[in-house]
Amino acid sequence: MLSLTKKSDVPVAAPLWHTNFRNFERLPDTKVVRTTFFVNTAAGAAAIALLLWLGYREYTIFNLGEQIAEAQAQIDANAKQNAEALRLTKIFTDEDKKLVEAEVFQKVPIPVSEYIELIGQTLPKEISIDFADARMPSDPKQPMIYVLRGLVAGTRDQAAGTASSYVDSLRAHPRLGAVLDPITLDKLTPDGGTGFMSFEITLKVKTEGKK
Amino acid sequence: MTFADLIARIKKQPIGFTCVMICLLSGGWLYYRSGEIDARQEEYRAKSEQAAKFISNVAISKNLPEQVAELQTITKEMDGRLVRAGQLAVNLQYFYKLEAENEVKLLDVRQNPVPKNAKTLFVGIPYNVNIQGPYKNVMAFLQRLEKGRHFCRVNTASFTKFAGTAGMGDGSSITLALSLELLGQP
Repeated sequence: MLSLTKKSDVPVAAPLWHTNFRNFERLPDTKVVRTTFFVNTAAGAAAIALLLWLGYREYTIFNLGEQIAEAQAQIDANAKQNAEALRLTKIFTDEDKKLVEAEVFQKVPIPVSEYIELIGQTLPKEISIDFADARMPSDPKQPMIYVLRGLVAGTRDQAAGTASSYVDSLRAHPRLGAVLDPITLDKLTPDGGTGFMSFEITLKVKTEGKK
Repeated sequence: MTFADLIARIKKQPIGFTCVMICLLSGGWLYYRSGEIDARQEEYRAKSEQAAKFISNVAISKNLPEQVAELQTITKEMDGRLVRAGQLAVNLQYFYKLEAENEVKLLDVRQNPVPKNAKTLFVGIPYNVNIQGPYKNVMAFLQRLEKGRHFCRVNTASFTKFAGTAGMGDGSSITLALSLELLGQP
């Protein structure tokens, strides 16, 4: 089959035996599918793909713009109320601070009056309290200590038993035992003046970690 | 290649040339707007967060005006219970009044210098108080002090049996030495 493509017409090696009058530029493209078709298809596909990509991105940007405008509208609608809420919150915080400070100022594990009343309620008839001391420093690092000093009636043997039982009863007391720990009998010695036994009990307030 | 050659080529491949031009323009535009989506997404995230915060603040603060008014009433009442360090006579009068009401003998009452404290809104104004009386009356005095008009914190309390009476009990007489603070303003 004869081929009239441009390439096949180009003389290769053998010298021409007559003048070639063909104008290659003007000869038609005789391939089954012309090159222009491929060029146009490729360029067109690339252009369409880029246009679609561009359109998608622009649509996304537009959508985001809409959403931003919506969010801004919500901000604008609530801005005044929000500012008022913030103002009120600040007032609330400041006022609350005062209450908290007053509460912290007064906070004690057990008020002195309650402690003395409970000591009075639990006191056996054989025991007489001469001195009660309560030290509650405002510095939380320093321990809070209550001290009881007094006399126990009876023989030395009986007095020792009574004092020991009294300390046990203080430890077992639902309120005192819950707040004070350790409760220790520090001294139990004969009192020269009365013939009774004098004692000293130390009650320490439980630290936060112990509770 | 001259300009004329280029024109000739364009004329020969007009569709291809148009498509290439579209590609170039689209590419340029895509490059020009390449950061736009990220920037808008960031802006949207910030705005939506702010809007959500505003809505939440408004919703939470629905009953805030009433709560603030209630709190202000309480703190106003509290302000009335604070001691003013400068009003020495008024402050001491409080103890004398308690003395009279509880029928105890006020042996000594002193207002001590106010410690400097910049950390808190209020300060504890220190007092030393010594009283003497029957056990019940002394206890009543102490209770009135602890739960009285002013905010009180007892730092030390020493109960001592008054000489010549039996031990601490309902019928005995005792002395009470107190070191306390009343919440106030310097």
